[in-house]
Amino acid sequence: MFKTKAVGQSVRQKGGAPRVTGEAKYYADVLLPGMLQTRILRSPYPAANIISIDTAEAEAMPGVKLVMTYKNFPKAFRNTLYYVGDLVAAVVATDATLAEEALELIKVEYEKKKFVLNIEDAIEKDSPQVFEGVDNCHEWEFHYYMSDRDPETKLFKTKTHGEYNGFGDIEKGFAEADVIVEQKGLKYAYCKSPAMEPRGCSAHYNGSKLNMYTHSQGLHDEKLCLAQALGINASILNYISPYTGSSFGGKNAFPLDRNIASHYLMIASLATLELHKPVHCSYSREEEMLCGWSRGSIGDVKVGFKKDGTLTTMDFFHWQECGAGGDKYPAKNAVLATGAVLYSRNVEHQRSKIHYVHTNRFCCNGWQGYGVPEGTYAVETTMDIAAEQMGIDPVEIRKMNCMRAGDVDSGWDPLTYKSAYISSSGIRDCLDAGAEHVDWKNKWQHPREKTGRIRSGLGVAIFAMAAGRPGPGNSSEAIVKIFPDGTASLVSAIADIGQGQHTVQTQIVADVLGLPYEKIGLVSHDTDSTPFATLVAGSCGTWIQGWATYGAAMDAKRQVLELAAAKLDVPAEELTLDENGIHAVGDKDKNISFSDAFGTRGHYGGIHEVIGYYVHNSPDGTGHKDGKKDEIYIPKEKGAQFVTLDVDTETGIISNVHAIMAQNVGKALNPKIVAGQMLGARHGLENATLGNDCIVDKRNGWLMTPNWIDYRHSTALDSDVTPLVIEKPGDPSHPLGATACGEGAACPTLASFSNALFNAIGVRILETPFTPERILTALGKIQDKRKKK
Amino acid sequence: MNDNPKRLIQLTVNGEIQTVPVESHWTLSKVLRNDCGHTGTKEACDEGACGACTVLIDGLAVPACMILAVEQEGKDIETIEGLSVDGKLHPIQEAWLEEYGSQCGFCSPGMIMTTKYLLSKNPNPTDDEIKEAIGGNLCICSNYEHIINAVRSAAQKMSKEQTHV
Amino acid sequence: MKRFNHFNATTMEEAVNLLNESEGPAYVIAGGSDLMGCLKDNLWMEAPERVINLKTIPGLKEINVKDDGLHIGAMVTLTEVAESDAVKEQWPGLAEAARRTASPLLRNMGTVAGNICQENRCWYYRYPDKIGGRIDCVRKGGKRCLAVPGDHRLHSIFGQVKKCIAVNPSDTAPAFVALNATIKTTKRDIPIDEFFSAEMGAQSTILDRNEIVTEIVVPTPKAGPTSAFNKIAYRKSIDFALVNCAASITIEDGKVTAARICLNGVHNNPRRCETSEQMLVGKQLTEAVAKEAGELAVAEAKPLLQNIYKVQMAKTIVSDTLLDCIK
Repeated sequence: MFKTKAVGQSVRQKGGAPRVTGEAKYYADVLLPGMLQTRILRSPYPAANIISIDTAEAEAMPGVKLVMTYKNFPKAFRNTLYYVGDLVAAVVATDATLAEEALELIKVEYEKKKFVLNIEDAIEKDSPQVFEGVDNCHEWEFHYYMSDRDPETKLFKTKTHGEYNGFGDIEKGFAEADVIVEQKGLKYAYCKSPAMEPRGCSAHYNGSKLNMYTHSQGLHDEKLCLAQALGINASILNYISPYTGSSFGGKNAFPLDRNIASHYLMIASLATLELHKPVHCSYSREEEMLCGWSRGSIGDVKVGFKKDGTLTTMDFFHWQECGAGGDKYPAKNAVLATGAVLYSRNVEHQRSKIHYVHTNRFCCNGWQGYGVPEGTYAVETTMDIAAEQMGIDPVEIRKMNCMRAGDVDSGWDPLTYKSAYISSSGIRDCLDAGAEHVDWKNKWQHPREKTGRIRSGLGVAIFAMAAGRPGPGNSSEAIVKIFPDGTASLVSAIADIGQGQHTVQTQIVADVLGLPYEKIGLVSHDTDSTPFATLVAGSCGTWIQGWATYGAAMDAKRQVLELAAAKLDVPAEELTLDENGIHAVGDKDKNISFSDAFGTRGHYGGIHEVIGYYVHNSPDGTGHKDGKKDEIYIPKEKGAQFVTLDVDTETGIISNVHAIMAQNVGKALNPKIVAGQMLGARHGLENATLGNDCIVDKRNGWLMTPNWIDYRHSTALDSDVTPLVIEKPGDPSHPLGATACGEGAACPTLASFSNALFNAIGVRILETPFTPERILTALGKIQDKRKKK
Repeated sequence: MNDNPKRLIQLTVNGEIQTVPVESHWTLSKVLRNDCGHTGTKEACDEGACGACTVLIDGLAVPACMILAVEQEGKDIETIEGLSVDGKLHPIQEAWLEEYGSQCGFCSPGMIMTTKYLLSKNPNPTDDEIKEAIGGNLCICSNYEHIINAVRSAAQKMSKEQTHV
Repeated sequence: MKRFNHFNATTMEEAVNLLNESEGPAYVIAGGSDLMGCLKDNLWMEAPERVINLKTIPGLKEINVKDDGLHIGAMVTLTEVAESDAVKEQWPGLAEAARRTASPLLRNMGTVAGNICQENRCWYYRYPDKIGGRIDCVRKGGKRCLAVPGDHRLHSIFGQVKKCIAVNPSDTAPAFVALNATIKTTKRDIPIDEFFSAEMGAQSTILDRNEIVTEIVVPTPKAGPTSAFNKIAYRKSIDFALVNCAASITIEDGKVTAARICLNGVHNNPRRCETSEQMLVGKQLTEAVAKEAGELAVAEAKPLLQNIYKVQMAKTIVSDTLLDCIK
């Protein structure tokens, strides 16, 4: 296709230097003159109505510019409160301390209501309703049954709205199975999305334009939603986000849904529209912990096998906690771990029944893995239980049954497509590489062989994560400009939240144009100057934006070659570009500089830049098998993870935690970035072993872990991660054969950890986090008196 | 209860003497960011539990969000902005770029200042010593393996510089 | 954070006077790592009127080894104690306790004296005002302890003091207890066994409101540096102990002649394990004897439903720490 020079190299991070000198401006670093500060009054109750609210005293305080409540700003505030920390009022003042003082002068009378704080209680029929008149537990509205499989293509031709996602005949499958393994109640604790930079924004309406400085994963989408939520013209809103201090999905804003924690956008925007002054609204760490996104679930899994370990039937029941509102869509992604995708190889009968459940807790939403970690935890733990029961090696049972390239993805997201071909897998290679790295063959021992106080464990799990989805509404755009001095710029709003998209996208431009990476600039900081780019979620950036960037660079290159063709009198198809200009393929003497090819130009005219543009509408022809419209390739992020650990059986403390993350990325566009993405496996490790759970006081709904002391993120001392980057060429869904790498690291970890823990102590703990208390109880060192009836 | 006078304090920030009016309850990180123009000092947890705001005070690495600005009279303070001189990156910053020490970059200023403190006390740290030294700095991108590589590489660069002098 | 008046004291007398003269609550600040957290979360019922800086008082930042033992000035940081060769050699249990406290950055600012005076970390007590309002628990003068009927997985396994079941979170406190330190203040010399008290309201010590620690004195161990410290925590840094333990033993002719063992994170005050100490005297310290000491240390434990696991941890850490003393 073209020579790769920058691609495949660990070139330096685009925007790296400002990050290490402190010059990078994150939203909170933009200090606008005269900027007002906001503080938010939050609900002390998990469920309440505001009976009365008196803001007169606060408003009278010198320095207070605006007090916002449901009365004057119903677009942002409500008089019904759904969780501790829900919005009651906001004060905008000249100074943060003043705003805090004014908050204390607001008098509120509440009517307390009944509430429910955990998923088990919320599922019960008679539990207090989070949203009045609506049961807390919802069945997924978009369950589809796949049928009518084409014998030749193996694709499903029909999808029918039904009571579950799946295919085949679940009853028949279990009736014919030689071995059935069932595990219920696999609980994934309500964990908090991590991000270094707390969410917030600064907004400034100057009478004609509303400039919004914030972090973002998808500038254009957030901008349009915000304009719509505010009821203002999209044309006056410019969304500015040069740097984002990590997000992992959790800081993605969606101001149209008032249950989702993007309130800072509405508060600051409404205030600046009212006051015409810059308004800063950012969350403290405590607010961030309380209002940021979370996730948790309960899963029941039942699997049917043939005697030899072939997995033919899978039944999966999933309950996803959504908190008070939130995003219900992650629930469907749990299905990626089932026979629909991850175990599509041999499964003939699949049933996935999905529920989402409301509680009076801050809302849940998708982050790093978007539902897949929860599903993978349930399925991959059960697979380990199955391997143990059947006496099959845990690596082997996965190699027998895991998806392979060309297997059929039977619609984990039937909203956008029915079924499609998995564009590449390589999970078996990842299993081999990981097994070799940990010396599985010699080191794996059955738990019954382990003795002594400190017991080592070794576990494995595999995963498949969405990496973009073909279908309407999935697209991305790019502009590539070439300048007469032989440099070029990528103009793209693709967000770099630390995952490296700015770097890899400019690498693609460099190689398409044959220019050095250092000569490629980037314009990406706001919506006014860029075309639409996809939300970077589901690790889809490399896939969907990669095509757009590639297409735009090809378009710009074509135009430059055409300019040169006219001057050199050589057909454009016989020309190519490099650092020195344009020359004939095979005859470097026939050449012309960029400047000469562009022709005469000056203050009043001439070609100052050649602009290439491309919109990648998915699926376009590039994603079709043999060009057939009904036969789509769908990319996946996929791999295997091994965990080793030591358990102190006297204290229940786990140490020497080490995860080996192996992923097939097809082609590593930037090996160090890819390796860095895999280090994200540590998020799973910390949620497995550092006691992380959004612990709530059962009587009052308070979050007891609202800070980074009581909620523990890993330090450098707590675990090690070894990334194994596997590159199996040939993924047809990407111009460079690359597939996603990002969120995958989060997907298998709770399961591989659970499996390693079982391997160490010989007892299965069904609920995360794997605390010393649970381990000591499992070992029989202590009695759990709570469970005695 | 409070007569709320701002007090003038004089301190040296990255070699420059500054006189700043501060209120008694303002933290050093707030004053560095809002009043001294050094927004490289990041605020993330606001309780000393993440190290994003790490600066050196008289050579000692501390979390600036836990320190009262009013107590910094006469102190010599170094922030991330003080590391590169005339646009030339410090060897630690070079190492960070080479080893991909930053992902999102929000922890980098603090992590780099902690590294500077470590290497001033221990120019040739082992991997375990590096881990221990950065034990108060969180990287939520979980980029520790790359960060440890960067610290190791920075130590090598700096010891080479030393031998050339 | 609320506004307050700030004073730089130049002598201890001035600091005491500033405390005496204050109309509202007044606090002294040394390193500030504990006080700043309390101020930021606005967790007290009455906000402080004044904060008095002690770092401007000269002469409090020294570690000296004298005839009667180790003298640690009130402004000496945790890092300085952890890295002091003299402390590491003669009082390894204290050096290790300082090294395991908080994080490297906090140890650079936090003082050892502040570490033993810090307030408890009960998550009800510490609940910040920013997210639905401060919780006025029994320790602050409120009516009830919220942890007893609420979530007490991190709380006391040895009962309550004045209805409160928060634990003392200090890592260095048990080391000073094990090493039989004396706390010198602006008023008196306090034996460490009398220093801690959760009876006095919010604070963790018997210090009067106008009393300031000036120095900690640790006697030189008679039979060599046989002390040790261990900490069980989720993380290896930036974490408070689930349970920690320090021990100091004297061995003569192969037999234990004296022992001081202290657990922390298990009760409102650091808890000496006196029955274990008495049992040890006259015995050779074997694994079996250490294990018995561990069992005795928790014989009187009264765990609540959610913290039974801490009894197992406490028992184990006592026995581990004793064995570490003779490693």
